[in-house]
Amino acid sequence: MRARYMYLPLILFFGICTTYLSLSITGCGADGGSLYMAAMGLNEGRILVANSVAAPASKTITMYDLSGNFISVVLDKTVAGDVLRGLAQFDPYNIILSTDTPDELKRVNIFTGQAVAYANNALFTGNIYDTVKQADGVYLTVESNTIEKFVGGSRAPAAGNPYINTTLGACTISTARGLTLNTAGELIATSFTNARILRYDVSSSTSVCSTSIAAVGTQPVPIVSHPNGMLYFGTQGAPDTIYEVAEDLSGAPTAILADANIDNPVAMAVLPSGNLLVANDTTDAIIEITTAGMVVNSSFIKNAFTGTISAILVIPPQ
Amino acid sequence: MLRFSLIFLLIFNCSTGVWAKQGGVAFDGSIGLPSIELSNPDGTAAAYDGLSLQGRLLSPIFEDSGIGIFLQGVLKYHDLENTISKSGSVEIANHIGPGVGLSFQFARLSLGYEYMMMKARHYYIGAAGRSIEFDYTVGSMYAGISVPFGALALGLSYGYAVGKILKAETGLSKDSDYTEQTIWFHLTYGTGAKLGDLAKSLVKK
Repeated sequence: MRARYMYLPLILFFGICTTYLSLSITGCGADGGSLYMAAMGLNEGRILVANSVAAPASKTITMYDLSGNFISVVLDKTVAGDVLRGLAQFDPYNIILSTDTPDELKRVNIFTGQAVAYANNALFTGNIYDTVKQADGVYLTVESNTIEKFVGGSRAPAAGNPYINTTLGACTISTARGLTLNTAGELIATSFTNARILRYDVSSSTSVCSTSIAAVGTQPVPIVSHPNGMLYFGTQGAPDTIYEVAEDLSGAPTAILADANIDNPVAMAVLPSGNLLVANDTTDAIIEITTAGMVVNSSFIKNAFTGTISAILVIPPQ
Repeated sequence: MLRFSLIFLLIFNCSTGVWAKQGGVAFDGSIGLPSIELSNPDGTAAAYDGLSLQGRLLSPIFEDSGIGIFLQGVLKYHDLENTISKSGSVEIANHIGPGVGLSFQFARLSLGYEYMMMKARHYYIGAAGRSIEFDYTVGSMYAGISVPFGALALGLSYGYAVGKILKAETGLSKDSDYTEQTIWFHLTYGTGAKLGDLAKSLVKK
């Protein structure tokens, strides 16, 4: 009888130890909250392409690796009919998508495809085009002849004129299309109808026009800022051309490529390698070129999802 | 914590009647509840739980009157799932590897340190499935208690491990910090024999 009861404290001891330590380790366990980036392929970098084709209808965001290999369809809004326009990075897992009809910004998870409304406003109407991330939670978006600013999902200012109005100093917007931020954090915009490239100081709650230059060619649309301190933009007025200009818009733009490889450029992006991607609307293909204008790959991405491309976003390796 | 310590001491003292001496080479098999965290370059972290298995060979360097110092060989395996996995977006992982270590045992208490060389495979299962394989090393400390039943002993231990997964292994822009906390449940068998005698018995005709 004594031997039987001898084991009782041991059993009680193990039970209490197990319960106490289990509760302790649960309470002190890792907070986590994220997936491991290397397991998701974010160590390799990603390219996202948005397209909006009227007929046959195709409104998708597709994802590729940095070599242009297809990975997945992230979002398909063909049935919903949203017109997809601009792409900007929110964080390594999510992007911001600007849409025209409905006029709003959406946050899209590039792995699950979940899209949630991020920013809209009764004053955010008109022709929505490109969007660019100025800082965490701060986005600048083209709205017809103005540029709207959203901070934390709310329009800034909350009421009244847009952040950048049609005419500001020497800058006059006539159908803004492309946006980019240069290495100094200044906003550069292409103005399609009056063929201007515009530079703004957006460091405060009030924007200031810094420079307005002629695009040389007509109908400028896409524009990107390169780490080499230069801007690269494309024009759709014949001849369709890719230009290079200093990021402070000092000096006139210089043509780097104007041949059959450039045909209605609608979107551009910069690869981590330093090469440029140019989406051509007529050929429904994305080509890769160097900053000197040499064509590296005339069919970098060309598939059923590259008709009427509206935006390209490169997420660099994390 | 004070209440727990008092209960622990009370049970420990009441259990002295069942103590039986073990010695020599010992084999230890354990099952564990891990909590593991890997850091991302942007400061966020991926957390995992799951099940762990471990096997140890403990060879005494010094043994006398309930005190022992053991050299140990270890094989460890973690079967993990990210704690935020959900339908349509799942991350699972397997980590396995050998290691060596040193443990100090005093009566029922044990303290030890292990150096592990691990190989990991992580799989992301979703609309765009991906996987990655990488190696890393980790240093682990543990503290435990065990109660003998003849040649066998039941034990409980807490292990804490830290390491780094080099960016050269993952391709990420920064090294990833590895942190592990595991509760282990042990079953140990003491052979009572020296390592040399045990080896001879294996090849003896």
